[in-house]
Amino acid sequence: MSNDSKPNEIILTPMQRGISSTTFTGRPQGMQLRETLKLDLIDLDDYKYIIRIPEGTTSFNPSFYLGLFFPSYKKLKGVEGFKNKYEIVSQEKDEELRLLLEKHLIECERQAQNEYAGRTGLDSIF
Amino acid sequence: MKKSRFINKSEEQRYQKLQELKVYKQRSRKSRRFVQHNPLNDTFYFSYGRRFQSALTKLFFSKSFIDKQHVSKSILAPRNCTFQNNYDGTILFIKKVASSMAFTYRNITIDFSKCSTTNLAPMFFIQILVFENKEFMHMYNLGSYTQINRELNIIPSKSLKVNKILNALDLIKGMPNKNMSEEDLYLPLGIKVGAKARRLIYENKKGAVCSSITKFVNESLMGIRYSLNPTGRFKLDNIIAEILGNAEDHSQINRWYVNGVSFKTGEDQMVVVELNLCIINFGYSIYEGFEDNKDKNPVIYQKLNDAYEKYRENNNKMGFLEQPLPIEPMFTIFALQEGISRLKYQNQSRGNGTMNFLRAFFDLGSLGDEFPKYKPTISIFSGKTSLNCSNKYKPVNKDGLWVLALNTESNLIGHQDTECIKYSYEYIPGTILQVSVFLNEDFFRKLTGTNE
Repeated sequence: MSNDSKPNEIILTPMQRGISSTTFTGRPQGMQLRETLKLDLIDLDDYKYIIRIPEGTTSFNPSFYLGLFFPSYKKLKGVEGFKNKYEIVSQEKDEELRLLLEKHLIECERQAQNEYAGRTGLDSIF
Repeated sequence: MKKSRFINKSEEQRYQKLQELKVYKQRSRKSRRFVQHNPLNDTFYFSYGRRFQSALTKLFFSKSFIDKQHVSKSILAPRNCTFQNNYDGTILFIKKVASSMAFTYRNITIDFSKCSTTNLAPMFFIQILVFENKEFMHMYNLGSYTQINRELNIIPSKSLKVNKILNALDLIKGMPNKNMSEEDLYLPLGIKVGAKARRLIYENKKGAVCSSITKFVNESLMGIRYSLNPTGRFKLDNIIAEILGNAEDHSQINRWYVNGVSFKTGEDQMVVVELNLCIINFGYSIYEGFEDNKDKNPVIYQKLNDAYEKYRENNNKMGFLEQPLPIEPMFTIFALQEGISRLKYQNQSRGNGTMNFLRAFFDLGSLGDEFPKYKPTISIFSGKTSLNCSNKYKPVNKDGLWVLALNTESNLIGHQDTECIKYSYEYIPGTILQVSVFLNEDFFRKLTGTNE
């Protein structure tokens, strides 16, 4: 498949949220899912991917997000590189919830960006 | 060659068998005698019980939190049993309860009759001790001839609010003061225990605990005829999940504990729901965590150390009347800032959980902006540090990063409000996060413009 063709899909499942859970949460769980999805290998190929968040997901936690995607940020050299390769899409039908989830993802991205730049809250001191 | 005393081989074998039988009989008699005649005593209870001790008791023992000198049959709760206003006294009281449970099998009486003020965190700590002790007794009785059945007698307080907390945490059964009005009702969440050692992703328990906490908050809101809409519910899910993840990451034993209680109170002709939530993880204090990892985490440790030096220099230069704070409380403040984590060496992308929680909490408790009596409080008790934050100081965004300092200028190297941060003598082996917010019908109507 060429770089310009239809992007591949990575579909997250409700089971990956945990039993009777509607949230993707926890850094170790994010890292575990990264291994399951073999994102370390996927980062190295030339294809584009759409990551689909399943319906009924109420929250995408920053810790989970960073556990899952932060190594990709590093490999793809920041937010731009990450966004060029991955697109995260919610499958939620409820418009309000989808917007909320998008807000969560924007916050996750902000934190990933700060982390990538190595910035901390103590920087204002120096 | 030495001459054998036996005529033949079979006689020798018979003799050996008889000898073995004799030894066996002796041994069995001895053990029977031991069980029958050695009454259970504290030394036996402690030494034999060590094999059944929970990870928490072992941790308390290793950190000298429990000690024989604190053992007592009757323990009097202090008048002010809060970490905020009586840190040392409250910890000493808890130490006595924990030590008495670990070193003696006897019944214990905890006397709250003189206690007039308390809140969720210390009582939840006691509830955890009781919870762990029940588990220990079960294991001990399964593995021992000498059965123990310790009873915990709790003498209620004269204060209705103290009794409400004790009752909500199942420490006393029923309310001694029966004349409660409808507005004196309370709603408990119940103890939630999470484990860190989950091998498979679907065993992640945090999401389920988050949902039950959100349900609890929603039910609390129903007390003022409001309920969370899906957006609010999911927002809350996100915040709670973040802080539980933090508790899980920094717990030295494989457990973290959550509990909550909400009170419906009516004062000034205004129905207000006071929502309390407490999350406890045991192990390192925040400061200890950084100290312990300074070799593995040199960059962040150096950053904190440099920040502390700057703070000290600045405070000496400004000539404030108060001495600069010691290193431990300042490290605790610095640790709340974005991107600061003791585990940064394991994973670069750490250190944002607490700040996310703080920001969300101040949004929820903004009723206190209008009514100072109902100011929200968030407290962090860790090691010897007690940090009590109200809406007086809020996180501010500085160049895309959220910063919280305990002064109006949000200056981390400036003078920190010593009303909000205290350094004490006694020590908690772990970190306790307690949140208290006040919710009111009028406030929500103003905020949302609807009944949702």
